[in-house]
Amino acid sequence: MRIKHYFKAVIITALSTILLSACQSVRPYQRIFLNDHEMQMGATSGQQFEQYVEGIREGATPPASGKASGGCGCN
Amino acid sequence: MKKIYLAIGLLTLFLRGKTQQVDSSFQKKELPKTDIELVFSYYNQDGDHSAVTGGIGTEQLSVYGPNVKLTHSFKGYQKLTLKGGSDFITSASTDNIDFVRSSASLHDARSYAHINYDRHAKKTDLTIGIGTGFSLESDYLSFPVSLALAYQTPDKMRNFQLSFQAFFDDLRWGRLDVDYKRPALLVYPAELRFKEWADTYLRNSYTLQLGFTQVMNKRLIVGLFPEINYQKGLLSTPFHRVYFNDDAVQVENLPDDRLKIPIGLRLNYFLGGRTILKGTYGFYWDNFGIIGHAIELESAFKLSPILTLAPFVRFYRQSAADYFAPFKEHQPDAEYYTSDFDLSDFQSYKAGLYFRYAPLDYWTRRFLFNELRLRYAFFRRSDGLVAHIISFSVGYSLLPKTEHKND
Repeated sequence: MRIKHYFKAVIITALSTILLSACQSVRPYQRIFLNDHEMQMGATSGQQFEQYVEGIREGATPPASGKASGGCGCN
Repeated sequence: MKKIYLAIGLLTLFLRGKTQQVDSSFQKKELPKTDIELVFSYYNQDGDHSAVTGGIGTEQLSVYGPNVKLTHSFKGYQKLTLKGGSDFITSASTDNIDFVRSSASLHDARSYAHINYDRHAKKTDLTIGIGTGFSLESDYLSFPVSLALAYQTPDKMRNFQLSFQAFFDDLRWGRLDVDYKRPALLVYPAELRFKEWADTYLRNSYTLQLGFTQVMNKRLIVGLFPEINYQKGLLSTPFHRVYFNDDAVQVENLPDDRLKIPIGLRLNYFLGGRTILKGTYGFYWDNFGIIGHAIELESAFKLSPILTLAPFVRFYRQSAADYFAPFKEHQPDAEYYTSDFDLSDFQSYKAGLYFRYAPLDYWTRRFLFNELRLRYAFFRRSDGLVAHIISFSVGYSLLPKTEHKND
């Protein structure tokens, strides 16, 4: 039952964030901030290495880390 | 006079029409480009809860990890990515597999290579990618395969991603040993090699990742990343010891399947001026009994158009796996047992600094220096484990030779 509650909380938070904020249409010439390198969603090589470490030193797999196995990580 | 005005008007229209004629010899063409990223990563940790010695003993470990990534974009809609590298590992804990100091187990290495091919469909804004590779250690061989789909709506407001990855792992040791040169056996602790503890030496992992990003306004973008991961096979580590409360010692034993569900939520907000705020929340659940929550915050300050400095902090908390107990606290009748503190109840925090220098400087006509990145993180776990993580990378672009015609 605890799991269901956690799932509900996460999903409700995510959906609320998306739905309650009104999405504004952004034209190509208004994308100067969105196109900034620091605004991108992907992880840099340094962040990927940290996610790899966290996936081993913590019991959890970091979400969207792009890797759930492929190395021993048993040292 | 009217005739003169009419003549000037017609001449103007004629000249204007002439300048707007489409040059039929011009065709838009994407030039091929190769991006090169050289990365060096360093990891160092120390603690006193090594799973090799049953939850006590040194966890001292250093990893030096150079790698290179080549991304070749061609024909405007295809991309080939090659990534390869090695991790050189010095581990005091795995040296305790046989309790012989300075033995071969003190040093290890992981070599890996991946290849990915992405193709962008011209009319539908859909990108399809496939990939494979390998990862090889003295006691581990892994083959990954992946398939990925990404779709961006025509107004570029939404992005959908779907990817599937499968890893086929073999945990036998011996491939890199000069006497065996083949996968021979599972490595158990020296005093426990009198019997075969595991039924299998294979581990398969399957991951289904979804991704959804939404532009909220011209300063805010939100991403949701749910995922399902299923593992089957040998999930325990054969050289991890477990000491029971009756002084017996056995090899770690965990269930042979594991279902993991991580979910991530990200927000990137361009605050204004030169500051960007990034927030990430991660939720995790698995059928071993672990529930985890992670919050990461980062503030990127653009000191100039080419310099960025970003401090970041991350807090994490997890509950223990149902099968975890510390040194000599396991009951002798337990079905599954581990003393690996990675599966224990703990909190951790990470704090660090990221620096980026991106001059986009042409060193020659074909060689573009894109960026230099340096990232340092300090990691501390509430059980006393401390780690330092450093990454340094340099990015270049190799541009094609262009032909100039003098007409």
